[in-house]
Amino acid sequence: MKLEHRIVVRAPRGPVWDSLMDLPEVALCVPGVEALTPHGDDRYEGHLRVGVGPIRLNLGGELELVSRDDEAGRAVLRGNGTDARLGGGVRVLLTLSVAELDGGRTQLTIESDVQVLGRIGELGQPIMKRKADDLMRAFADCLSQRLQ
Amino acid sequence: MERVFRAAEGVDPAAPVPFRLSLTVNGHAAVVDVAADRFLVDVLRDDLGLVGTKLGCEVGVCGLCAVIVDGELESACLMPAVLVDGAVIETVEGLAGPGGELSRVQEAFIRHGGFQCGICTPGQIVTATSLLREQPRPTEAEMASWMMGSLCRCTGYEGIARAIMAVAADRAADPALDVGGDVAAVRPDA
Amino acid sequence: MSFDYAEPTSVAEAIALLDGDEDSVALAGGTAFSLLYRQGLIRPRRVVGLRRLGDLQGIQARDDGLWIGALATHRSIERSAVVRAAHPSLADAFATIATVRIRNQATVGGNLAHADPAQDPPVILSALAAVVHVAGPGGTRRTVPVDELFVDYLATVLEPGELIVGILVPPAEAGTRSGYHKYLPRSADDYATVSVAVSVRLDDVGLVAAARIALGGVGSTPIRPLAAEAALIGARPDQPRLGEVAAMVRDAVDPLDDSRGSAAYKREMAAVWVRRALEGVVG
Repeated sequence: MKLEHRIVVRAPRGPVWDSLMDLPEVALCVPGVEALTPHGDDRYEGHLRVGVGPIRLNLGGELELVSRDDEAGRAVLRGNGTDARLGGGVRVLLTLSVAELDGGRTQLTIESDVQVLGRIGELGQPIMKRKADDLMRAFADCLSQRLQ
Repeated sequence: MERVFRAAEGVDPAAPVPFRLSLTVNGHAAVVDVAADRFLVDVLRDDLGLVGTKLGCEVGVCGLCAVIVDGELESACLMPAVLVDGAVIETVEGLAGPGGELSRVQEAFIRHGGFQCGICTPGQIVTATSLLREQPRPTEAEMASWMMGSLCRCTGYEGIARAIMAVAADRAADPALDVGGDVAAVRPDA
Repeated sequence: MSFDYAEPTSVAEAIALLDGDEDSVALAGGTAFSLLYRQGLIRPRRVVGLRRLGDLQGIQARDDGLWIGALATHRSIERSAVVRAAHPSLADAFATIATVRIRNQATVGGNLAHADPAQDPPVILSALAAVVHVAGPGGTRRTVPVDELFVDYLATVLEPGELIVGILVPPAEAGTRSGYHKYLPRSADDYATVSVAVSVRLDDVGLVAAARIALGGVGSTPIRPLAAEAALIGARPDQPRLGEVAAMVRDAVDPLDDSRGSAAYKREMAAVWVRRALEGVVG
């Protein structure tokens, strides 16, 4: 599933980018994330709880900062987590990019490529896409508030 | 509280914990220890060796696993074992008479070409038997409505429909006709 | 991996066993539970079987309306003379659910708690202004109108440890006509691609005095198109007005693209079938 969300933040690009690159802080904007703890170079360990009604995933896994270009204002992150109980998993490739707008504003674009693995993946693309969309929108809204 | 079944302490949580299931199946008492999360279709086939009830879609849509539980037609694939503890179950194996005489419905399926490969046939026959018990003289429309969801890939349904309506017609001529495996004839072993 | 299993003999015991734990599940008829479990989508630690709660199985005509116990099967509702006398469209709607096998096993309480927006019962119950009765810890009870029960796909307002005990369908005011329409372009035992339930009462001069419309299969919950309903109230339900109402329904729905149809197709069908449903009760 490929998703894209865009938000406009009322703050200049520099500070927005710096705040964005504080991943443990920014991760708290994803609903269901409890904490993201450093675990080596540009790697983090964390938990994400996400669900559709009674179908609940408790994903434990890793987030890796694959590339970061401060000048271009672009970073790529790769995450993957598994649920021990249901035997499913989620892999995500996230691209965060910032662009300067007039009036001291910044546009933040979040592109995500989400793969759901295992039995959970059979739940149905449309429902999962909507759920992923809800999650990324909540993430974007929260960032917007934090970064202003 | 009468019944609490608890996984014992110190037991490996990944190992299935036995639940004592007591059933009457085709007139015979059966007691079998199963994991609480088993389903009736698997208990019938794997624990009791009654493989007449087939696995098809496993989501209650195809009708291959149709059985009769306490007089009602159900999908065995969607029936948790814990919900049939103490129940009276009838499967296709119970429809023939004590000497192996085929039931009216079974005979009609043969006479009217109601099967080809046979995989859906147990489900079709159990479902048709259940229909004729509940509605002794169904119209074609009532029959079609009841039999909806009993899928057949081979016959195109004509033979099945003819078989059922033939038994219904025989019933109309002779209301006392036993369509087979009647509940009254099914008694638990002493 | 298996689960603890318990069969309480009272609602209070059942709630105590559920213990507000989101890893505990109440088991009614078992159809939705079995689908989710066999597909590996749920792995509860405890299952509380409700089959011994005989109090929850009845259907009664009461002074305040039609009471349907949470454990009444779809089949019992379909066949109940009491239901047919009070609301024929309700009995008809339950007769459209899946197959006789499912209807014999599945219960109305389990259906509501499962909260799949393509299901039939929530749609007809919403049009009939039904209210869900819920029991909670410490003997608490609360009521939730059916159209406030659902929050998202497979999600209701029920807290872990709460149990639906029954549904009360208020009596219809004299002259009210209701109907349920299930659009099934695929097989007859399928979920609806789009379903519509309407309940309409006209006044002495043929204007709409009261109207409720509910739709299934066109959102992550059943939908009541309130603006469309409002456009009906006080109006003469002629073809131009019904056309306007149907057009407003398009804006009220939010369907998913899936194997039953694209979002655009379902949106169009929602309008078509609301119109047909209304024509069926005002003609």
